[in-house]
Amino acid sequence: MGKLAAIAWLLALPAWADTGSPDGAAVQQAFAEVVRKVAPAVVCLDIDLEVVEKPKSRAQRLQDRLTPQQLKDYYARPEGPVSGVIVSEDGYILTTYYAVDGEVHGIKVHLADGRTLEGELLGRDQNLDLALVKVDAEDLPTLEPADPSKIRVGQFLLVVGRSPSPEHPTVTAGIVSADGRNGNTCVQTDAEIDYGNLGGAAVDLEGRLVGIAAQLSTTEYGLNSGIGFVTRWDCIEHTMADLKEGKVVTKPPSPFLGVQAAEGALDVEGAQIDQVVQNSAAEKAGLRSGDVITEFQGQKIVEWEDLSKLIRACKVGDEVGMIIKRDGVDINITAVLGERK
Amino acid sequence: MPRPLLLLVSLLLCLPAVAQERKRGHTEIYRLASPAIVGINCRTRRATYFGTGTIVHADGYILTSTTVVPPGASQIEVITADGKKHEAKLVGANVEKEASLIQLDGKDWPHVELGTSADVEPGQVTYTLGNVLNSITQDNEVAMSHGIVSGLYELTETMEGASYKGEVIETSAAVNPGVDGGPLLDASGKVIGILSLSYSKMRWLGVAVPIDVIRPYIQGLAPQAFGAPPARTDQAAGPAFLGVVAADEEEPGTGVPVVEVNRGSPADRVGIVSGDRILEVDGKAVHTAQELETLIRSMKAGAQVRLKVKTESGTQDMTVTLDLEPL
Amino acid sequence: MRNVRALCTVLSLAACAAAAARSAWADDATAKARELESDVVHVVDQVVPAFVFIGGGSGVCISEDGYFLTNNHVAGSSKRWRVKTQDGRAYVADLVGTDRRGDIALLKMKDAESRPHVDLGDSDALETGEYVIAVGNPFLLGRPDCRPTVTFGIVSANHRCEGSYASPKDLQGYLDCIQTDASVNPGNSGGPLFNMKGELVGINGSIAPRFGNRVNTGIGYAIPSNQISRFIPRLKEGKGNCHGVPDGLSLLQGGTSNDAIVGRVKAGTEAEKAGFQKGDVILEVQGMPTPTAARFWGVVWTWPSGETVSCKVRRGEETTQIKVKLTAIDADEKLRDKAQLGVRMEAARDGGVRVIDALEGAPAAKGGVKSDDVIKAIDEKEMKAPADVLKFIGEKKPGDKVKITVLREGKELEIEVSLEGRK
Repeated sequence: MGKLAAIAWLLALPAWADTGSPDGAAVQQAFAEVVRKVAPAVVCLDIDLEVVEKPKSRAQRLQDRLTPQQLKDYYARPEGPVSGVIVSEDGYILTTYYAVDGEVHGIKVHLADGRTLEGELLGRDQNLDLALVKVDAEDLPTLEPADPSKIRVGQFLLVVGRSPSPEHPTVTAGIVSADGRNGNTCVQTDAEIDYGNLGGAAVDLEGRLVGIAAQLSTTEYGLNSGIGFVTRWDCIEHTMADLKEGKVVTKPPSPFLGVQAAEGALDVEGAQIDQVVQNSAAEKAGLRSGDVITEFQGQKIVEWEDLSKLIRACKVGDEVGMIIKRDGVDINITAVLGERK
Repeated sequence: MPRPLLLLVSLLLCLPAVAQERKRGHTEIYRLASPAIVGINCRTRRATYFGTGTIVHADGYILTSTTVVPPGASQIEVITADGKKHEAKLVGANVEKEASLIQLDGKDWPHVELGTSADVEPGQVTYTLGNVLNSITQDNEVAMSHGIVSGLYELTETMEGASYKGEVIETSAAVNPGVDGGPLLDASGKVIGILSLSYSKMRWLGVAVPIDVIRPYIQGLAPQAFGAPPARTDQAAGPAFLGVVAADEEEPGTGVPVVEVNRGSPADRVGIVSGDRILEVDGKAVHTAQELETLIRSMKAGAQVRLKVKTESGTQDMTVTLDLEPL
Repeated sequence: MRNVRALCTVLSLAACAAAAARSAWADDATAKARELESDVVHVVDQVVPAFVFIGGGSGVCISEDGYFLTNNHVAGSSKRWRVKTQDGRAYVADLVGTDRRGDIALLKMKDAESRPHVDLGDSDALETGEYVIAVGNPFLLGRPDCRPTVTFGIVSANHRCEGSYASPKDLQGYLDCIQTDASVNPGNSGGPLFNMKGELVGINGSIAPRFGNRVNTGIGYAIPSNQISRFIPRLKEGKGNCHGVPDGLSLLQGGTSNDAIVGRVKAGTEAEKAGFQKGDVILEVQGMPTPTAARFWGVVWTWPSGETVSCKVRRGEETTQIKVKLTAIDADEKLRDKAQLGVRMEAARDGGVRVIDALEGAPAAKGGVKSDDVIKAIDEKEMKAPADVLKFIGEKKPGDKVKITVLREGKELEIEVSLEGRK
């Protein structure tokens, strides 16, 4: 009996051996397996895109000069390929609307197996930030969709892209931060998302497709800030027919002042600002955290909804006048509304 | 020992293994690596610098970045994770590779091993550690972030005072001011890169100079510690190398004072020693360490240069054949 | 006796077998990753119901009857708030007490019963590398449907000092805080940081951004739960004057050492009464090591005014314990103005910080700083990026003079600037 106990005890010793990070090593292997499974269905897209610049008003141009070059670089669309996901064997590929927002002169699709095919742009939907591309091929690898009802906040999510190098997939990892975002079309994740992996596949630990990485907003949420959105597969499925038919859905530019509300302050009459968004119309106009907007375009503001309604009724580029209360003093402020990107 | 007691003891000894703490995350790697991570403050004539360094050898060799310890740096102060301060001396600084090697006195320093960067793949777990926003210097805390290798590509532009252009390892682990010069560790705690504050304008994520790029350089500086550098196959390419460590002074005198001479280097071979001052290179007067380095590097390996050197016994003219810079 | 022996044998065999099995099974990496994932999901399910949506930020409920915590900078501006909880219900909440300097506010929901809530954990027990979970409302994304944002990361460092401690009479900020790489952004303020047991270990309140942007770059700071729990009784009574310092004690500034060395002990003060002497090296406060001045003020910061703290002090060859009562730092409704330079800046191509614009009438322009100047150093400290300048100036007071080294058209110039407060 004693001998048996001793042997069993010796067998247990390896459990103590702790070199480096056991969790790190385990997670790494799990991720590597997912990437191996998923990468064949992720493509690299070289899109010859001519971006149509909207003419800016003098007020907007003056404000642009105040933006530091580093921020201008940060917000600018970089030159380079984007990612896409093969969604059917016969060559339908999804990427983002953002990647094709302009005049598309040609699309080259680089597959994981080394082939480069010509892509044809079909339908696109700006609300969901999706675009459908077709290549002439057969038996392409696709991914199994995840069950949308089983998505849990806290579960792992990997975003697999293929940019800038068509040969190597890229991967970032995080968790599902929230579901039902953007009118219940998106899952939110803290996996890093930037221009390169936009259009890439967001998958779970089993390699099943949760959705497509999309809806990047550098001016609001920033690149790689841990705020990222994934358009859910079940929403995508509903629009696939329209996309295949070549339907184009756009949304009008949305005016953006750039203030985050301190909603619900019952002692305060007006719209109290909690935060001013970096480099927004509000910041350039001199608005600050703590200011209370009491009047907007001549209309009295009692609570936040009043202000939101008035802003929504304006256009991008409008010069708007408002009165704010700061440290007991009334101040006149004029802002030039930006665009919510 | 009576049998029941023996068995009870066995039972108790097994319990920790069974109750393996799932909650602990990456605390093991931190425990292993943080004693080898140091904060660094140093001065040049113009300003003070701060950042991170990694002790990579028991003999006190610390690998860091030229953005933390630039050429010509003096008064290099190292703060170890236990809060103690030490003086370090500059062994070599290579601006092109953005790598500096400094050394502490003494032996048996806690250190981390150098890994290889050749087979690094996206998805691998990585850690960044260091003096993030003065966490070591001010708060005595080695800060750590975890992430994965998120990309492998070439940086063609340098940002934020960095100087390295070439292949980088990109990571989703946090890289912020102060952590430059610190290590990028793999899941087993080996150094696979040295962190830089440069970034790609397409990606805006942290990057590290791969350790395979830096290793030949530190092998050239200290082969007894890091092994012999690889034999050079191509004799043509590469900037020239003299082999002196120069310093900048508070009150600049004439010429550039030599602090160290690398063993076996061209300078060593003609007898230049620590304390000498280099006044002219090919008839051109030099005043700062940076000037000297720029001049030498603009030449080709194998070139002969005339140096005017002030030694203990007076001013001498020396002809030196420049080597190829260690890889 | 024989039964006991048999029992011991069986138990130890079972334990050994379990350990061995676990060791073998540990080789299945994906299974391990899945187990970690399910642990995270489990903690999230446990804690998210305690989340509170308030103002432009977040809060967390800590009692059945509706007490909840948030930051002062989220809720301190108003005595009464309309808040929402994660289950979609709305409550009116009163501001019960607020610590303006330490940035913690305590509120209570009216007519709240059986509210889901969380317990405060031990923030000193946190280990660097340990997993943490942040719950918040960045960019108010969760407002329409009451779904907060959950992010996951590790403890990057504990006991970081992110406040200003240059003047003992004017301490403010996060003098002892948890640094995490779990993503937190504007809107996460006031929200909870949990350990993997689901205990509240911190309240998220600030970030250190990088690219001239106000979004997360892997550095978030949270006020530790141990500090908060010591102040809750005071906050419940609605008392201000939360934090205290040993009155009459100042530490050595500058010098060659980082240690917490007593520089001056003013006559007739608590510090003198307690027995501090010039030159004393303060090694510990309340059992916490204080190897630097920052750590000394950090530990003091976590104890309420009126409390007596015990300091381990080295004097020559001896060590001794000194007990001193903390005197409240002057309560003021308005915290001192932050010092400002008055420049718009960006990182310069070849290192340093480029001035885009020196605002008219502001300190930098008054001193002679011009557009396109590249700031290389301030008071001889290298400035690598705008964040360095912000940090350096942030620790100064209005009225402080600084020497700015700039590069203008290839030449180095030194410009003296007298800092002013924000207008």
